[in-house]
Amino acid sequence: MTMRAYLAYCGKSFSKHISYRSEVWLRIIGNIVIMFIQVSIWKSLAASSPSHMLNISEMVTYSVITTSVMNLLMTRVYQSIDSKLQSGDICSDLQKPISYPWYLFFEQLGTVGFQLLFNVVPSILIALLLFGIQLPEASNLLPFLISLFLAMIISFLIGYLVALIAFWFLTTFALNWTLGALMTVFSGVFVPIWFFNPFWAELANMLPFQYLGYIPSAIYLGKIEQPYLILLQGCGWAATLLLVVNLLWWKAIKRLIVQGG
Amino acid sequence: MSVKLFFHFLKIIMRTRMEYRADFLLGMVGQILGYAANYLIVWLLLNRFTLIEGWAWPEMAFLISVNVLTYAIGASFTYSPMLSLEQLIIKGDLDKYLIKPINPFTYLIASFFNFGYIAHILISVVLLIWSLRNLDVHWGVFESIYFMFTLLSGSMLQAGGLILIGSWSLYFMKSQFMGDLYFKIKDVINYPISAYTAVIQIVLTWIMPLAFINYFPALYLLDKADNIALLLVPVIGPLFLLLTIFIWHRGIHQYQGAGS
Repeated sequence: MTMRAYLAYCGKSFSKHISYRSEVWLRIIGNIVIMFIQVSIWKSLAASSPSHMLNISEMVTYSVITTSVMNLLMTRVYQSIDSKLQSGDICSDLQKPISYPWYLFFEQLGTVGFQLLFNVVPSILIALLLFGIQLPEASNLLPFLISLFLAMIISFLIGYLVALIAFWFLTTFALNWTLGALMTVFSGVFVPIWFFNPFWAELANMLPFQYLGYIPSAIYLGKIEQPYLILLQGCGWAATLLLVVNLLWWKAIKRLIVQGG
Repeated sequence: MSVKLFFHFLKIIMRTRMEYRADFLLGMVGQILGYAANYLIVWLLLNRFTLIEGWAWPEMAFLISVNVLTYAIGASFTYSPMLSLEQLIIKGDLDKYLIKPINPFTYLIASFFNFGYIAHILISVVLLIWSLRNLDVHWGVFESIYFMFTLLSGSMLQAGGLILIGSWSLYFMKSQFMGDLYFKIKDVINYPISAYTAVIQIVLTWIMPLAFINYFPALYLLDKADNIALLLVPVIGPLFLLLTIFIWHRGIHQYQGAGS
């Protein structure tokens, strides 16, 4: 019964996006613009650098993949809580006989499904024509798919963590910007971590954000020697975040009751 | 609308903003981190490759800072009113702004003035000053005046871009996705436009004149090009702003026609 309810929420959020399908082309253009900027910069750098420093076809593929992966992330889950927290609608959500985190997860899953079909796939096809993309080696395909799945899970947990912190701040404005900053640098969405200087590379490797863009692309390109080990570490991150989120959720719920009483 | 009335609006907005002082300060910290990340990425890139299109890090910092600073100035005036238009139209609240005995455009600008760009201004001015101290720019009276005017003109271009987004919602109701797209496109001028293909350079100069915000002024001030035409850069902003306000007013007329 409950699984059917979750799937219904998933389908509902998918069809909600379908009603905005006329704007889909604007999102696709947006993706192409981002890829175009990155590809242009890499081409310019490739033209002025010795060839061993930068492999241009590799960097083009990297840009296309990270930009696409960004569309599949669930970090935005906190935005759905933010408005409900301020309007008080969250109470009626909490009364439903379902697990709230799972409800949020399936709601996001519907969004991701929509993004994949109507945004990522067309964007990649256009990018294939405009820029050209390297194909992965067969052995990297499975770890790449796992890394995509992991990116979704970790991004959901990070977004959910932000949402829970918002129970204390009551607004996500500052958190939104801070998360954006961390993602810009440490997810490697534009500059891959292998170009970072040692200090920043080490910092990036200590944080979970690398799994939201850098790791999937690097695995796709065969840049990571032991992909399964890295994926295992990612699972460790997911477990840690899950623990933190559960702890905070407990506290947040108590706090919410106090506030209401 | 008189200047006195405009400042009266600003005073009221400031007062409401200060009711939530902690939020405001936290938000500023977040925004500064957000922009610091953008600078950091370019710094990391140049740490590895030294030059982008022949531009070194201080020059890139100058280019980005002028973009952020002019955006902050322009957006203080036009971001909130223009991006709120869609909701105002959907809820029918726009009519409130049309029946007052003041010009609806200036009325909207005044009542939605946004003080939230202090963080943008802080970080961009700090980086701007730092970059200028590390650059070998000859600052005569003429250069200083030219720089002031390019900042003014750049702010007008940034404000005008947002007015076009607002106009879009007057013509087509929904503008949110258009706004999202604009914010992605806007980032192209964080890099020297010579990195892009010729067609895009022409678009950024003659169709969407974003290159006049920071790239052309930087070419002149940083001695990267010796073209007399660069002296005309500060003229583009006011012209563009006038054009966008004209388009906006035409949109308002169209809106009234559709609404009745």
